[in-house]
Amino acid sequence: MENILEIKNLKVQYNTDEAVVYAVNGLSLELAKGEILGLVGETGAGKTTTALSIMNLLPDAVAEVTGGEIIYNGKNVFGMSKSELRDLRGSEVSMIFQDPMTSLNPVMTVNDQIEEVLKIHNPQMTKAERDKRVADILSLVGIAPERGKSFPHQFSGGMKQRVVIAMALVAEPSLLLADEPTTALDVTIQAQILTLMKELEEKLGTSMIFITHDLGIVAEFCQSVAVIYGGEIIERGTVEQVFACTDNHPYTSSLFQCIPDLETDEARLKPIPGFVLDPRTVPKGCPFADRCEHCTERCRTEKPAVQYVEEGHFIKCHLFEGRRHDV
Amino acid sequence: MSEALIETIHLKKHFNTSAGVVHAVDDVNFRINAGETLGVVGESGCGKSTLGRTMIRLYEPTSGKVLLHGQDITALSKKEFRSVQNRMQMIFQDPYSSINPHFTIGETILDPLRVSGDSGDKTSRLEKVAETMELCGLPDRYFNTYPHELDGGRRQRVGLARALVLNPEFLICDEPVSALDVSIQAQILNLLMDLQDSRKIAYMFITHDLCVVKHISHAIMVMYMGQVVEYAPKQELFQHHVHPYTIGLLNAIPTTDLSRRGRERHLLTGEVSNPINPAPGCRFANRCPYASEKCREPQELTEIAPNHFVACHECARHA
Repeated sequence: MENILEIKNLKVQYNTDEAVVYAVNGLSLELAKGEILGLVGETGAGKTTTALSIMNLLPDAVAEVTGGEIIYNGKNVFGMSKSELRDLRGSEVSMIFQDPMTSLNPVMTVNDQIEEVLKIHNPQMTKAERDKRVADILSLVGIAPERGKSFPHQFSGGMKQRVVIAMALVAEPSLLLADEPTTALDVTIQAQILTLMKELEEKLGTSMIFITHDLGIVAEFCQSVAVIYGGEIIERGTVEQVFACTDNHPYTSSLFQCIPDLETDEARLKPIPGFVLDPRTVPKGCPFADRCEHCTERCRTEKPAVQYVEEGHFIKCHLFEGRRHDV
Repeated sequence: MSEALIETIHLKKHFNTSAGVVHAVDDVNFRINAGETLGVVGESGCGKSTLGRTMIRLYEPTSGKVLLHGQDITALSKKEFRSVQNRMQMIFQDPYSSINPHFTIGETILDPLRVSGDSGDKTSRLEKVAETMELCGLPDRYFNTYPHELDGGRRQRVGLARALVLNPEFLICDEPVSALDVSIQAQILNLLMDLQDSRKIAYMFITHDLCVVKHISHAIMVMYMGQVVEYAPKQELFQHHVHPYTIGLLNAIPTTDLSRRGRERHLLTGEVSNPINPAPGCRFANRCPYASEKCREPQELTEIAPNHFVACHECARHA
C-alpha cells in the first residue's frame, strides 16, 4: 500500500541553557494511507516531539533537527517553504492536542474558531458556505449547531474536546495527529470521544497517528501499533501481532506486565526496574539496556538492528536476531 | 466482624457558592477495618476528593460524623484533634505541587515530626526520617536534595514518606499514581501494598482508574455526584455489579484483551451535571437508560447481597 508518511532516521534535540536534551534519536516510521497507528510510550519518550516534527512545528529557539527527513506525500517537510507549510498544516495534516482547555481561544466563539480554519485554507468559500460547513461539522461531532455561538468556557471538558476535533477535521485533512486526546477526560467521556473518532475515521478515511500511553486504547481503537522508547521505535506491528504477546520487545512485555488488568487477579505487579532513560544522554547500545532483564554486554555497546519476526512486525532487539519466521 | 478502624455516619459536605449549594458529599456511610483498603471511584467532580479531605477535617463537615476507633473526631476541639491527626495522613495526586520546593527532602519528611510535637530529640527524629526514607525506597543521599532534582515517581515516594513518618493507622491516597507513568505506577502500588502488609495501615484509595482500584482494594465504593451508588466487596462488585452507572463505567474502560475488541459497548451518553441544588431523586437518572418516573424519588442504599449495597430501586427490586 502507498505510504502517506515516511519518517527516516529522524533526530531531534533541544538545546537548552543547562543541557542538550536528545528527544528523538534515529526514529523511522512509515504510515500507510488510511492506517490508524497507535504510538505508545512513556513520558519523555519523544512522542510529542515526533508529532510536532511532522508538521514542522518544533520551537525554533531551542529545537534542532540534527538528522533525517520526513516525507509527506513525496515531499520533505523540512525543505518546505513558508507557504507550502501553511498549506500542509491544517488542510493536509492537523493535530489534536492533549488539553482541550488550553487549545481553544477563550475570546472567540466556537463558530468563529472553526470558521477561521476555512477562511485560511479555503479562501474561495463564501460566508454562507462556510456557515453551513461549520454547522455540519458541529453536528458531526455531536454538538447542536446553535451552541456554536457560545464561548469555550461555556462548554465542559468533553464538549471542548469535540470542538477541537471539529476544528481539526473541518478542512478535511488526510492525516490527523492526535496527541493524547482523551487523557484529560473521564473514562465515560473518553469512550464517547473514541467512538466518535472511530466513526469519523470510517466516514472520512483519514489516516491517523494516535499518541497515547494507554495500551487499552490502542487495543480497541488502532489497527497497528508502534512502541517508542528513548526516542526510537523499538517495536512495530499490527495490533493483533503485538497484543498476541508471543513475540515482544522486552520493554513491551514489561509494559503489559505492569498494568493492572480487569480480567486477571495478580497479587503483585511486576514493575520495570529503574527509571525512564535520562534524555540528556544517548546510550551507545539499546536504550532499554539498563532496565532489561535479558541485557547482555552486547546490548550496552551495540545498537540493535531491526529484526522482522513476521511480515509487518519488527522488534529492535538483539534477542530476536535470526528468529525471523518465514515470511 | 472486626471492629472498624474508621467509619463515617451520614457524612455531608456542602459548599455555598453564588450559584447555589453544591452538594459535594451527600450522606456517605462506610467503614474501613485496620489493614484494609477501600477504593473510592468516580468521575471528576463526583466528590471523592472532598470526601477524603472532609474525613481528616481539611474541610469541616456540614453534618455527620467520622469515627476513629469509635470516637467522633468531628466533635473534637482543634487542640484535641491535633493528637488524633497524626494517626490519619494523606498523600496527594500531584507530586509536583504538593511538596514545598524550598525544603530539602530531609526537611520535608522531618517537618511533620516537628509540627506534631514528637517527643524525641533531634537524633531520634533524624533516625526516624532515615528509617522512613529507606522504607519508601529513597536512598539517603537524597536527604539534602531539593524536590526539583527528583522525577515524579521519586517525588511521590517523598509524599508517601512524609505521611508515613508519623506512623499513621489510616492513609488517604488521593489519586497517588494517576500522574505517573505506568512503569513507575506499578512500583508505587507495590510499595503501598507492602507497607499495608507490614504495618497494617488502612487505606482509602481515591482514583478514577478502575484497574488500579481492582488491584489494590478490598472493598469498592462507586460515587456519583456526591452520593454512593454502589458499595461492595471487590470480587462481588466486579462479578455482580448491578447499578447502571457502575455498568457504564466498567464498560467504558479500554482493555488490552483483543477478544473484547469490537464488543457491544453500552456507552453512557451525556455528562456529569453540576451538583448544585440537586433534585431529591436519583442524580444519575438523566443519563440512565432505564430511568422511570420512580427515579424522581430519593433512592436508598439497599443491601441486595451480603455487604453489597446499591442505591437504585430497580436493581433492588430485581435482586
